[in-house]
Amino acid sequence: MVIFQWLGELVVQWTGVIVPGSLMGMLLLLIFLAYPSRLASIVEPVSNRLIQNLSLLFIPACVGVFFLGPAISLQIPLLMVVIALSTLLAIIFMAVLIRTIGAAKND
Amino acid sequence: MTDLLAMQWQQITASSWIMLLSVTGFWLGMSIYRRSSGKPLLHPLIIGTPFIAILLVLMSVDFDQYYKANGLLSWLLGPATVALAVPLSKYLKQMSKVIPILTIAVLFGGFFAAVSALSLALWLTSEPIMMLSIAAKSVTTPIAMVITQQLGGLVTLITPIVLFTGIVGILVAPQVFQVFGLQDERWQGLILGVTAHAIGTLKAFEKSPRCGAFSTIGMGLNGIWTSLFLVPMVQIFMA
Repeated sequence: MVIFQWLGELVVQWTGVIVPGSLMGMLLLLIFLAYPSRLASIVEPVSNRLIQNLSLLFIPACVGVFFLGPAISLQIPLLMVVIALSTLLAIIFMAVLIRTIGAAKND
Repeated sequence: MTDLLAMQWQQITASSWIMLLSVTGFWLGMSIYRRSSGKPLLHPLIIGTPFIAILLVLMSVDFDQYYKANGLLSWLLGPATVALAVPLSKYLKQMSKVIPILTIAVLFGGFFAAVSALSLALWLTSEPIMMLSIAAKSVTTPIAMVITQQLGGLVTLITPIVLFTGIVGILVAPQVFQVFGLQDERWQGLILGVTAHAIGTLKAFEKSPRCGAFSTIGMGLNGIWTSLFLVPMVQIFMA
């Protein structure tokens, strides 16, 4: 995983695309895994471990919500309304979109 | 290359015992979450983080100190993003059959998520900085940080915004799926990934690996797609 992340960072540095290195690393690993090899059996247990405990990795940044300072904190309720509304709208939009395309395909 | 390695090494070695607080908070959140048989309002992040925040105040450790002490965990986000390729690769064959729907859903869904956030922010707040900080909300944290930086938004604010989006997403999504009769777990996963990024993906993996894989691809594709259209779009919008 670490090797592929570094590979990803390097590719990003060389090509100058605005995608984070770790995402580029994910795409690279995906390409490598598309060819049958022993790589899959090596990376799988590590990958499962990491994914199962993904929440733990978000904890430090998340604790930051409680330490933002008064100026921004005042805006937070309004911000929460905006986020909640637009997230709800986006989910409804996608559900309707997929149902419409799906129905069109079945006809 | 050596710069990169040195930077990462510094980040890891800055870790200290304070990191144990995160592990304890996570463990506490996880055990409560499991005992409740997976209620989204009792998500480990919702239970764990206030607990840690209270401990930090009680022990008078400031947030910067705490965040630095968690270098190892923050660093692991990189390899963990890479790790998502493994479940993805397993479901690649299944996905190749539904590429048209998948592509249309991600392109329009990702675009709609960002535009709806921007226009609501424009309508309800008058602060341009808020708009710039909120635009990348549906994108997974590492990518959202890069985008927000390029937009000139508040990078400190984007992490909680992204997390809150994810939590709202996993709370409302099951209801929306029920109301609109969307039962196919592949599409449920995709929607969770596009609109609620890593938190949605986590939820999708709890449902089934297949749901999780579609969520992962939704999150990944939306991350790439949003980083491509959002910056030029906002520049035109603000001009």
